[in-house]
Amino acid sequence: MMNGDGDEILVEEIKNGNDAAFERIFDRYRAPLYAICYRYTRNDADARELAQDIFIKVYRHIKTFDGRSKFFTWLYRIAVNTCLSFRRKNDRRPPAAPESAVSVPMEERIIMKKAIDEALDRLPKRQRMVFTLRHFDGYSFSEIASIMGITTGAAKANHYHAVRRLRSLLKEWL
Amino acid sequence: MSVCPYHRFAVDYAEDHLEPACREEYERHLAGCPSCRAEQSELGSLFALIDKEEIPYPNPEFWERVRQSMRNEPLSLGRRSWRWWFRFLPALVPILAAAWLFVVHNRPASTIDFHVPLENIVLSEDLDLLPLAALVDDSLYESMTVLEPYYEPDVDDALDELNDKQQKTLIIFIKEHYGQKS
Repeated sequence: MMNGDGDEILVEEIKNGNDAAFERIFDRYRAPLYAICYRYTRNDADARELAQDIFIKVYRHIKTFDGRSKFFTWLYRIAVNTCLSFRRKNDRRPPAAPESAVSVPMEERIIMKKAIDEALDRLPKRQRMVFTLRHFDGYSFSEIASIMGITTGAAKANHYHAVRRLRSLLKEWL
Repeated sequence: MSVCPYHRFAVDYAEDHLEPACREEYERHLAGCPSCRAEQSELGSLFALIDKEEIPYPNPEFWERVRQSMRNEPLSLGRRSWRWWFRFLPALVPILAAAWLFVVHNRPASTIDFHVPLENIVLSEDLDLLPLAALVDDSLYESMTVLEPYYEPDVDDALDELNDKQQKTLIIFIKEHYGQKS
């Protein structure tokens, strides 16, 4: 989980015209933001497109960041909103499962990955996003609520329903 | 069907989000509760399955292309000067006046009412709508164990498979806890 230490100083430097400071923000956040995009879209072509959109938006608007929230909350809000408003242009799917150290036969891994993809894809998009931020990124419900602009209760409820639904959808794999 | 009240800790435990004291208490409970152990085992399997996936991060060339795209973008100047608006003021005045009149005559109520009766949500939809429609607050989560008997995994989120008595009980429960906001 990102803690965003020093972000506000970097943003101040960007506002003062230091482009190198933006490079540091970019390097710090590109991997975690890409991970959110990938886990949300379940394929790398869409995730790349989203990641690029997000960073262009951030770059374009970073000087309007007014410090009323933590920088990473502002940044993740842009990422989350970009993901939630993303419409898949076509049903792009990766041709095969990514390489993994797990000793499961390739064919089974592909079927398993497809099952996981489909299960996550069948979650309503807010549930999917809350689950991603909570489960993979470890954010607290109040942080997720701030990022997504929903109540803490709604974040908890979305997560609860996401887990229940995943259990139900992936029952045969458990 | 009664559900062990400790079930509500199961997901947080599996995701390692429990505070140390709570975690210790839950682990003590787990040792003596077959129902929670079964729940924990299934959740553990679910998360192990989902966590197996590795993310295929893009290569450095992709990030360089993103950098290039950003460099081609005009940077927002932050606090823009607003004086240029003055140039359009003569044209804007009648437009703004017309817009103001339109808004005054067509303005909605100051609060957004949720017009779907609670019964309709419970009878035909699912609980997802309750928090999203702001009909309930944080205490919903705390009350999930109370709702659990009405919320079988096989039924998934659909509540329309409840029998009449269960539907009435659930409606009464939600109304008592959250009031009738619909």
